[in-house]
Amino acid sequence: MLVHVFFLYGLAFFAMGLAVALESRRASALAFGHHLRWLAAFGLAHSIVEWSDMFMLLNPPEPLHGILQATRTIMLPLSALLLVRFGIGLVGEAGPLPEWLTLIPPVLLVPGALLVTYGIVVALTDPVIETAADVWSRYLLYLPGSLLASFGFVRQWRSLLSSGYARAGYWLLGAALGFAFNALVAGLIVPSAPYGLAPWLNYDRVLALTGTPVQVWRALSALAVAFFVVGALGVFEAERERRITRLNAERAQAQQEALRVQSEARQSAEEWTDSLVSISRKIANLDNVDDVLSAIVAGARRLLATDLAALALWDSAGEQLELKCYATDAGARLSKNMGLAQDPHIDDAIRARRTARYPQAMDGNQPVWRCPISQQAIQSAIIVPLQLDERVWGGLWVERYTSSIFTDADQQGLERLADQSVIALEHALMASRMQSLAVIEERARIARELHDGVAQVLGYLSLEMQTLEALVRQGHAQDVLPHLVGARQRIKEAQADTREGILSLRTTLAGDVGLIPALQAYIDEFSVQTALDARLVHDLPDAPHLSPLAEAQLVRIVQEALTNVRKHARARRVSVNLSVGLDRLHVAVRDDGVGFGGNSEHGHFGLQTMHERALSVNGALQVTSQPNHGTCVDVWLPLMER
Amino acid sequence: MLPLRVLVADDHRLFRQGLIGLLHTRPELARVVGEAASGREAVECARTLHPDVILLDIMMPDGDGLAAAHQIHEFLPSTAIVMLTASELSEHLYEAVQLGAAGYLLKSLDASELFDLLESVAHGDAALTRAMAARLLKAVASHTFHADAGEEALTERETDVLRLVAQGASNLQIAEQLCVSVNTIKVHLRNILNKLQLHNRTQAAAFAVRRGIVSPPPTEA
Repeated sequence: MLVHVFFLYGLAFFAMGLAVALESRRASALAFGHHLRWLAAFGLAHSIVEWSDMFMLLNPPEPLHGILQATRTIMLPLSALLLVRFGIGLVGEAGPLPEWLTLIPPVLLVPGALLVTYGIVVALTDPVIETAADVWSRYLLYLPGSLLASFGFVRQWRSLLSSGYARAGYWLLGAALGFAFNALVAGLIVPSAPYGLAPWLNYDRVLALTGTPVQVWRALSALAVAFFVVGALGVFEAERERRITRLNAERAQAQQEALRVQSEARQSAEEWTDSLVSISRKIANLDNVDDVLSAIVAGARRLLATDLAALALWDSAGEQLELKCYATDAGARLSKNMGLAQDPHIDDAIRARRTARYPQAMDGNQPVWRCPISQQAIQSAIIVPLQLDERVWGGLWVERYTSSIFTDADQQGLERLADQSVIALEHALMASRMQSLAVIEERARIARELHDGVAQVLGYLSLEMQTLEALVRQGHAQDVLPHLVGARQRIKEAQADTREGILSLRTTLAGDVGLIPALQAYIDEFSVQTALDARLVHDLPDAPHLSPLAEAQLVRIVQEALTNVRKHARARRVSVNLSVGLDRLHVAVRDDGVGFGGNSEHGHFGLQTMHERALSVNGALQVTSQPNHGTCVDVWLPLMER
Repeated sequence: MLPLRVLVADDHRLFRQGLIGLLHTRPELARVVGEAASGREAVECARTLHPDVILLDIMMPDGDGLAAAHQIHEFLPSTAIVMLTASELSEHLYEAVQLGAAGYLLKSLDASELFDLLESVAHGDAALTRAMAARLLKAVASHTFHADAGEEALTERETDVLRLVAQGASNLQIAEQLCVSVNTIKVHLRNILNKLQLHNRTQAAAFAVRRGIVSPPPTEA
């Protein structure tokens, strides 16, 4: 029966040792895991002790019995030493010891050393050396080893509880209790001997008290220890699972973060593109330059998430910057006389014709200055000069009142907006030049018409009056009448010309009502004034998209063609046809009048002007006429892309 | 005396018509022998008709009046060319004188001014009416003569005659003022033109203004 008990006892420690040995090869962040190899070694070594006992019970022949006895005598203190090592490691690993425990080593050093010396001396001098060795190995090594292991498990239990491994912690508590029980039954209860506690606390006494041999209690304690330690090994699985879970969570978070950054970048890129496209469209649509600059400034503020964005232009002398517009979170403001943007940082950057970015480095050694507009302290800013070739128009800048850093991408974005501002400004300058050219041309035309029209008639009438006066004075009254008839006829013609001239001047303002209504009104009025059957014919759903200049020239050409019809064609009907081809508008002014041959007397001067008008807007004009077969003026003008 | 043979050149038919009508009221003074509607036509007509007087518009298509005047003066130096214009641009007046035009009329002319001018041409005075002289003085005051001739000094008497010419006086008036005969004045005038290498009294008047012999009239408001 005792053979089975020893076998079980050895098996329990052997199994525990093996399981722990396997587990100890895994990497673990837990302190508990760092000393498992000592526990494994203890389990395996101690199982040899028990199994030696088991074999000795079977009465093996010599020398096997002697070998077993020697093995047992050596392995018992060795295994106990391994357990001490494990226990010390475990206790030390679980964090700083309580204050009182640190007193134990110095206090116990001398009595401990005396006790150990006494034990060794006794064991070596005793005639029954095996029993003495067994007793002192248990007292001096096994008992403290088991207690240390137990104490270590208790401490590990607490630390595991605090790191969230509650279930594994309870297994450790079980192991601690197992080792405490083991310390009692295997460390304190020894064979009957004349020293230490042995005379009172020995195998026989236990058997007498409990009716069960101590080996059975030891086997039970070993089973308990093995059971709880193996159970506690589950903590490593839990730890691994937890680590995997954490890694997964971290990976998912990283992925999410990457996606978020990506989508933010995409959204920001889209916003930039949208803004730049919308500004380009404004420029192409000949929007007011102030509106375009306003939109650019508002865009800069929004896209760069700044507290303020502003644009200033040099005054006409190029000495001072005049604030043109700025945007804050309260919206964009635009003004003609907003004052000067007097600020050395802004001024310097624009004069140097180079983008300036503050702070220039991350070290925080940056100038902080007051915004000339809001009077707030500027912590970071980018200033971009507005320049094209040699000309510097002014500058565009953004500023923040918090200490955040502008990136290279921010700077590039602002520089693109600055480029657009310059394009808008150049565009506006060109448009105003073209407009003033158009005004000059219009004035020259009116002067020419006055010179050729009313001035001539007045000159003629002045001469005619003097002729009449002379005729009357000379008494040639009979010659007066034809002169009067002629003069009255000339006056009538001059009235028609003047009325038409006034009508033409009114119709020039085609931009306000649209091309087709303006032409329609002109032709209706022309029809009334001249008693000609004049019609506008077209099937266009809406106004053809011509440039403003082309529109103005078209109106002029139609007016001049109709004037020619009235003065020279002797027509009854005239039609103005509009039709749209692929990329051009075709206008045909056709009459049923007398027409003319190759070199007509009437107005090759006028035809030349009409040609020049069409050419000036990249159009073409052709006049076809045959005597008595009417005249047709065809004009082709390029359409603008929508 | 035969009436002056007149060529009318103006691109505006209406004005031409009015001018011809007016000239018809003085058939003993002037007879219209031709009409032209451009500078080129004016040169052609002058070549075939050899008129005594050409009334020549400045601003015309197809060769302006100034270019025509220059050409005509080359082959008809004795024909009096009178420029007609709607504007009082001094550049035009000055250039016309430079090119050898004898006179200059605004299109808002008075009949009397036109007839005075024709009468003085008929009397061989060449054309310089008082109104023209005033305008000429103003125009010349702001210009310099390109072909600056007349290094040879004029006599005191000749300078007096030139001053009066520049003030728009006729030969008869000058003769009365200087108490000599009209023929003497004509001799003086020919000597002046020869010395200064000028063609007519209008150019002589311009010279006088430039040299400070007379001062320009105050600018009209």
